[in-house]
Amino acid sequence: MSPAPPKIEFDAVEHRYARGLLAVEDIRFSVGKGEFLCVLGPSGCGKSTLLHLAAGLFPPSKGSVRVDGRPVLGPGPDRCMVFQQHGLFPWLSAGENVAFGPRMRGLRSDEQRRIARRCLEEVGLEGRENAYPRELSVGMRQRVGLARAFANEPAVLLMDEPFASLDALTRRQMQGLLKSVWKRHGSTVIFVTHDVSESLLLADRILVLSPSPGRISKEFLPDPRAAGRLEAEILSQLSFAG
Amino acid sequence: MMRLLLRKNLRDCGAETTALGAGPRSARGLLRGASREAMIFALSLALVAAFWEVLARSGLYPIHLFPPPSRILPALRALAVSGELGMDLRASALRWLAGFALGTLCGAVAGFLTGGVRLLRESAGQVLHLCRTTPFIVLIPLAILWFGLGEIEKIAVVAWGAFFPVWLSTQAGVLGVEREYVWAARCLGARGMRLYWDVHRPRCLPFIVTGARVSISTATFALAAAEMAGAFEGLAYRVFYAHQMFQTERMMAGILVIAFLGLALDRLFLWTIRRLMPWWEEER
Repeated sequence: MSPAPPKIEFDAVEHRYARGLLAVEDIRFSVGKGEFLCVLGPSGCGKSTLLHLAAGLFPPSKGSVRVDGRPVLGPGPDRCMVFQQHGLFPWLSAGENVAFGPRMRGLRSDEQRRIARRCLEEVGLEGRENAYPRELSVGMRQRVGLARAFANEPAVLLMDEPFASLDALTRRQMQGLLKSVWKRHGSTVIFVTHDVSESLLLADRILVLSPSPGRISKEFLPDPRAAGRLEAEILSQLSFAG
Repeated sequence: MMRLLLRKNLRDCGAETTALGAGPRSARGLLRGASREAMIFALSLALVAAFWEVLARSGLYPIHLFPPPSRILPALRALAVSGELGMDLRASALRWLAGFALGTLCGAVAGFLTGGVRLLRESAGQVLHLCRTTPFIVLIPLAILWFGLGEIEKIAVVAWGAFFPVWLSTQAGVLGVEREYVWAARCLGARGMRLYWDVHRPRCLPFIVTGARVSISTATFALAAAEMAGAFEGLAYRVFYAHQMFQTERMMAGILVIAFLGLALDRLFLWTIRRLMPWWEEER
């Protein structure tokens, strides 16, 4: 037992979609405050479902998801999701996208603008407040997505393969950026990916999920001195699971 | 070909802004594109007119049934000088604008309702489909019976014609809102009507606009039909009346005015939405 109570707790969670498809089963894990957890698994193993449940977009069929010890009843500005695509609103400029959260919280418009400018600066996009998403490169759009997530100062960040559609170089840059922004804000992160090296680079802890239905098959603690061995181990675990 | 060139032109401009960073879209490139388009259009019109003139004067067909442009233009000038053209334009424009505004507004609201509420889509939506597939021309006599032969009747018919395209396309828009947008907004704290206003409404705007563009022509059909069914002024009425009087030149002049007005309305519409939705990037 860790001394601090966990930030997020999944307790015997099972989720079945309306069409009867069992997405995840018997999921038990907890994430400590300020921890960076990667959930790794082949596509279709229910990784995203875990994020949606933590975000409170829908309730689990069985079991419970708790944040700060209280069951999740719906989405809230304390937990923010970052999507792989379709995340930014194309009808809003970069600045307005970032200011969306503060606007929904009812902040004054100069306050919204100040937050948007600061958050865009943090991801290296100062002066691009007025650009529309279509005028930005894919990498820049993901930066805006990150800035928008941090604009609400969420205690929990839920990231659904946010860098999957980026080229290798941009992905490296974004991973570095995420890591530094995460350290500064001290948020708790659940990061879903199917990229083993990405999870080794970012995570404090890695959960490997096996598919249909999604179950936790193993847990890893990344160790920079043994990254190569771990990568091989996780890959074999994944092929085992798949 | 011209379209293709123009589109390429526009795309190049877009690439330029992305590469150069912030700043307005290259104005010179656009102007070149626009004036080029206008020039080619004027040239095509001149060619059609010349061919028409030669054909009409060739004697292949009686000239009083197929008058050349050189006879139509004086008839048009006469219509303008007598004040009939101005009167007709004013009458038709007022009916069109009132009917179009009423029809598209109701269409958008109805689209949001039937798109957002399943029970409404299955009940009222089906009734609306029944109305939509009834040709509105057969409803004009009914409109005359109910509203009398006047402006209300014509506005109602135009609104009816403008309603359906906007309704259908708004409904499709509401049904097609990506769940990621909704989820992202909910995670950022939007809920209830706020969600509708800040996500569904802007997301559906391009659909409403596409529907409204179709409505421009259906509203025009409806207006023409209503004026021909009975009116005392109006552009389509003038064509109909000139036909009855066997004044082919005046008739042709009226048809030309209507044709060019239709095109002008469409262009004006595009110009407006580009300013309304600078974020829009779909095919035009």
